[in-house]
Amino acid sequence: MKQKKYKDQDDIDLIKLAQKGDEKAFEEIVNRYSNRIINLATQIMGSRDEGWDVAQEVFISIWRNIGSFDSARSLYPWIRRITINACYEELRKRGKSKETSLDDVEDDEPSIDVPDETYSPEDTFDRIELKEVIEKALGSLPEHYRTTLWLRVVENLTYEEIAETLNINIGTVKSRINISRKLMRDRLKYYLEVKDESS
Amino acid sequence: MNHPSFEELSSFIDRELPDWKVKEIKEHIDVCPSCKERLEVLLLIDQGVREAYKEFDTQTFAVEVLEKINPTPTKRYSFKLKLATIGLAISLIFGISLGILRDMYRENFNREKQLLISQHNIISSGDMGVIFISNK
Repeated sequence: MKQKKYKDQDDIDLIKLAQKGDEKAFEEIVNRYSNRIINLATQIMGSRDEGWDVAQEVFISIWRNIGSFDSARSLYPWIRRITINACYEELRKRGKSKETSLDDVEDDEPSIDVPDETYSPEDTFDRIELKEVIEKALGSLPEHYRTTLWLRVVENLTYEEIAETLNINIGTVKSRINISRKLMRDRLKYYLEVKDESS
Repeated sequence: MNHPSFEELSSFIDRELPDWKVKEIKEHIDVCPSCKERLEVLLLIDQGVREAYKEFDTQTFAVEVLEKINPTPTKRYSFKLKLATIGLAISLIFGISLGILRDMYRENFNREKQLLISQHNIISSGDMGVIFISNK
């Protein structure tokens, strides 16, 4: 019953309650946004476990700094921005250049498995879901391209909002999205052709 | 119109083009199967990216976050419990040691008693283990 009470509250009310130390209200905020945040962090960090850990640190940091949140602002964009900063900070701390350069990506052999010749195209598509192929292609993009595309397609942000969130200019956003889609298209090309032949 | 460029098609699906350009591209796609196919590939990619969105175990996630924010009193209680256990263990060791010492004392006492009995005539014995004896 009490839990339902929190579920019905809007973000502003939850924030106000959490600012007064109401942990249940904060729990509702976590429940409401954690899935999106874990997904986003997973995309930036490049692995589910790292995404999970960073997302946890994000919510802990939000709880500790909740007093400084201006309730006139929207909650989720604030959490998203904190998440992106936390991920970049983590990557920087580890000195981890997960960010392969674009040249590396283009020069690399496609990471998608080449289908066994003993299988017909139909068999191939039975074995390998297109969804998995796309996911793999997405995962093989350099981090900043993957993040920008994710913000556009999944988070449904406009170019302007992405620019603001990532602190880059709109031209860069547009260019990253175009390059991401081109890379994805090239990597999927083989499979798409096979699909065309089989249909 | 000419075939729209890749960038134009990309901006088209992102709804980032002016209305007049959107109209132009729509009209072109209706009559150009090749561009329609190019557009479909882009839409397929976006669909695949959306499907990469996973459902995580957010309940466990929330529990772990709250546990880190505010460690439950169980942990403080555990510390007290540890102290109590150590105290109890010390008491037990002390108690057992006392018991052993008492048994040793009794054994020694009985041995001396038997020695005295063997060396003396028993005249009388009373309560509390008092023995009245005279020399043999």
